[in-house]
Amino acid sequence: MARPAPEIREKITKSAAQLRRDCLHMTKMGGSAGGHVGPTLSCAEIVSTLYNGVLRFDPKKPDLPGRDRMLLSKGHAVQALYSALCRSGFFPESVLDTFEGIDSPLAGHPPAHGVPGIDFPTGSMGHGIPVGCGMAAAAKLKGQNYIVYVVTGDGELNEGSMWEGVMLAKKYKLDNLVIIVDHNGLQHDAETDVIMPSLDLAAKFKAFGCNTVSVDGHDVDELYDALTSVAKNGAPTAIIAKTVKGKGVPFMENVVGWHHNCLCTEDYEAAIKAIGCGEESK
Amino acid sequence: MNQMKLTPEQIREWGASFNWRTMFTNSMVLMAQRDERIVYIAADLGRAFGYGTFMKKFPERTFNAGIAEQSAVSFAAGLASCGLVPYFVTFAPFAALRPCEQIKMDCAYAGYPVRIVGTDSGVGSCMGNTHYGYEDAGVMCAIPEMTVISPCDATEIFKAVEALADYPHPAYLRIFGGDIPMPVYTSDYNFEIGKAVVLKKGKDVTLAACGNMVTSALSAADLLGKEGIDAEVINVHTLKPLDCPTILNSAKKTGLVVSIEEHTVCGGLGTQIADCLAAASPCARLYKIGLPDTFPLTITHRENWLKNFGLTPKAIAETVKKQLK
Repeated sequence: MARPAPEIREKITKSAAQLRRDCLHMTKMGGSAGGHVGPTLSCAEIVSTLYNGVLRFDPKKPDLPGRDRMLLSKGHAVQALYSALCRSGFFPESVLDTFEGIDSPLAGHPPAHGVPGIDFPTGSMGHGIPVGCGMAAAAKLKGQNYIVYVVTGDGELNEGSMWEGVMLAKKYKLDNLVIIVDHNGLQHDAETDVIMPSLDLAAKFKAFGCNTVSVDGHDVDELYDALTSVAKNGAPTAIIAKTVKGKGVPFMENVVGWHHNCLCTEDYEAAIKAIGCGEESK
Repeated sequence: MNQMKLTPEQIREWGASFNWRTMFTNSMVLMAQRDERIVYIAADLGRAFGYGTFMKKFPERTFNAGIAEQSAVSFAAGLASCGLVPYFVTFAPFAALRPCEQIKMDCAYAGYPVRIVGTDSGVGSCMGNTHYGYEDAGVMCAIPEMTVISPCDATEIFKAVEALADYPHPAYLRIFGGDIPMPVYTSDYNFEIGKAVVLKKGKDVTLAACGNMVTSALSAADLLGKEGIDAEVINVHTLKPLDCPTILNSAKKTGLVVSIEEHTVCGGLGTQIADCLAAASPCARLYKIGLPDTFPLTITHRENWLKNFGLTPKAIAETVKKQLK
């Protein structure tokens, strides 16, 4: 197992906690517009591991041609992306306060313009894997060695276009494409088992020709190992990350209603207390 | 990139020898030789357009997504985001409707120069309603920041493919199946996206046509001329952005604009012209000739459809005479 160095591990863990605090803060600032709290909290470790231990990028050069790409295909978890980009130096902390506000660049889903560091606008389900395939294929065509990471939801995998993309990835031997499934078992209306059962996602991705690995989506060591041990064998990689929707805030965990909701002061304070204040608390 | 200089012999050869589909692929080959960013994406209908010619020369720049148009368009957008210029090619209904949301979000909203090429549009085949491109141009026109081009003959197909190589916006290119009608252009000309071309000056009526109906409009103008009616014929190759000044200039002169398209009258060229005329001071009446707002329920050849829908030169001329009375 490829474990992160202690300082990287600590950085990732702290970043995940900060991401959760940022999510709660942005949701509070969003007021009646609310936020996708549950889906953001479930991918905190995934996104933090990517931005603090895996992705190659330069916040001062967001359009660097050779940078790794990160597509948050489950675009409704945009607060995770905003936190990661802000804390990585793409834009100042004060911008987080404007989430979903009038004239704010921070829309409720990753926008096409106005936010440095976003590699592609998402939010309508089903686009990330095939778009990522295009980016990965471009790298092969141009002889560049960047990797494309696509974070998807398990509900999002209801969309057939995602599986079309997996077929494309396998056909064109896109071993520079890494799909991470935030497998939290819930979607908007109810549990995935009720709406559209996922069944065995690892088996499905394997049947589609992917290198497949299952991890605990909140275990930084397992995530780091999976993300840094991508096989270069002509096949895309799928990491099925078992997560808990709303992870970190007990009254939100596995609760369908926290897919998207507003945060009253009482809930905000209870949630922040559950996550812990940290050095950079809001 | 400068426009390639075309000789009259080349234009004559293209007009005489090829059908629309083959001409498109040949245009792609010519352009790909000049521009290494150009990529061809098929959706299991590549053989219908002779894409083997392209694939043989540029195997690494040819992709086939299989019967999966939505991911094909997203894939194209991913390629475009990394500096490539993809042309995604399939039959018009599958090019424009099936991946409509991907065109809207991944190409137009994201702002990437993907070319969606819808061939066999109109009622050009006997394959039935699933394969007719009835409303493709209108749907594409409704997407913000999408450019829509409908070339009128072999030369203009090449011109459009060439112009789109350096064009920074996403675009829909509407191509017909079957044989190329009487060529419109016999010598080289300067093609400019968004700039309509007055092919014949006149003063009594404006015939504004696109695609294969430009030839029909010219033939109708000839017939009208024999009866003393002086028709002005405009090739509106770009439906969006529409060259409103050229249309208005003609409309103010003639007082009657007749739009002609092998496309539903809902949303296509006629509708774009209506928007243009409606916004100006009252200067002309508009009459739209196109496919009616109904599905054709029997199967027949395209020539019969054109007769049924009033899209032959003779029928167009008769309609114009009625409108002038």
